[in-house]
Amino acid sequence: MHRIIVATDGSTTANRAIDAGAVLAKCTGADLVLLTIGGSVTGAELRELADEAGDLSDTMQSAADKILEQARRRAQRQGVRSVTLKTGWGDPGDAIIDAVRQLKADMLVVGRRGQSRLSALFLGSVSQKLASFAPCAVMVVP
Amino acid sequence: MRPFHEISLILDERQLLTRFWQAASVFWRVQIGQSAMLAMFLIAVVLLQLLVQVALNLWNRHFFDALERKDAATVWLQAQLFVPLVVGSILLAAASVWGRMTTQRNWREALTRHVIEKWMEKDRFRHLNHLARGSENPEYRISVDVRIATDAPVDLSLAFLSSILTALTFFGVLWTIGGSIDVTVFGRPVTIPGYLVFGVILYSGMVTSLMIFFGHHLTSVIERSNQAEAEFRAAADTFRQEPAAQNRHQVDRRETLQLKLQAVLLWWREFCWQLVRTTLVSHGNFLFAPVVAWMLCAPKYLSGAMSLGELTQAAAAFVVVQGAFNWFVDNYQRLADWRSSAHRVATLLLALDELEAKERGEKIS
Repeated sequence: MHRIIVATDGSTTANRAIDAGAVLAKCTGADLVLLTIGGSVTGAELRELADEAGDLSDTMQSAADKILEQARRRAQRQGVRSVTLKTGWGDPGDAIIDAVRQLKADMLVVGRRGQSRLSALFLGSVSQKLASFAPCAVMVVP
Repeated sequence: MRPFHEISLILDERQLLTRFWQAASVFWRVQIGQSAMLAMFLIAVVLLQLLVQVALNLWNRHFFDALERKDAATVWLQAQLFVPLVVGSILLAAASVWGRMTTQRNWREALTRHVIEKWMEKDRFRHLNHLARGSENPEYRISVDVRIATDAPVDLSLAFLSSILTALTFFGVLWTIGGSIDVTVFGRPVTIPGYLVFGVILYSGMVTSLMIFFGHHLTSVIERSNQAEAEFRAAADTFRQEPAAQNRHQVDRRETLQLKLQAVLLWWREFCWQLVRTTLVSHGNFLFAPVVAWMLCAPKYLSGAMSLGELTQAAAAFVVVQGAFNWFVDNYQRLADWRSSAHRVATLLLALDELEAKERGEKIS
């Protein structure tokens, strides 16, 4: 195994996925890539930015950087030395699959998000989409 | 080098608008004969349209009074009078379109030629790529932003003038037709003179306050949305210009493009919610305004102090004045579009000024 990607959004389940991915990378000697998909900004945050003439791209970029930095520290606590950080944009499922293809990853580790049954029915579950369409092994951490 | 958008944001609003007006006023200063003729023509059309509107309002009164009296001869006469009024109104509407679009075309031509001249002089368009401020996507600024920046002021100022004149004129109609009303407040009789005027002011104030409450973020959201669209176009343009060999750069550019697209979509989502909120008020107003007018006039009509014709005339005048009061609310979006386009044209002009100053500096040294 050469490369493992762990997708994170900073949530508790994503943290469990980072732990699992880091242990796996340490045991197999694979490169660990931490990936986050940016762009989840609430309406209230947008309105605040609009009034203050703040820059949305910068806000999204720094929010993504913050998530990745926390993820890096968590992975390093598991004993992984080399960690690559990556940010994707757009639909989370598509962006993660794009990153897997681009980086030629052997395994993808994701957390199972706590979506309600209703939203999962309408929007579909990201982890389900990844398990079905990712071109590599997928580990879904509960 | 700082990203383009950061630099354009730190420019002072007044500095941008001054620079825009300095260039945009070329048409009104240099081609003074043509521009003054067009302005006078447009003002005359607005005044004549107001005259026809007043005549149609009076026609309402006479027609419905005749109906109430079952006076067939007057109904027939009013029906005949309606034709020239409608023909006049249609011709004035057509003349207004011609006048506005001709003014907009001439103004756009003058400003575009002015910007192009500055942009092409001494091959500045080649050097602009090395300058951060206002240099991204100049072609779009010259074609689309100049058009929006010169289109909107003509429509907005004519609509503003028309709204002011309409409100003032129909205030008179409401004051005369509505007259005073006697009401009892805490057991004491009170006479309110020109109560329909107070009614329309109160109602319009309420609608405007609601609109401001629900949509006070709308202009800034539209501006940010337009800015995000411009940055997305600039990112796509940069991606296209990147040499194929520089793969690492292409990956970075691709990510930037995705980031900018995400920003566009997020602003668009917020714009959608702002429109949903303001539609609640505007559609509510569309349904309520005529009914409020009828309800305000009903007591006088029922007491016999107002004829059916006066009732319809007053109700129509109420809706017209209320519509005139809505000028700001109705033009929220166009004002925001104009402001962002004027900003982008001004930013390009300031970037060209900077290049020009550099050229002069090199010559002097």
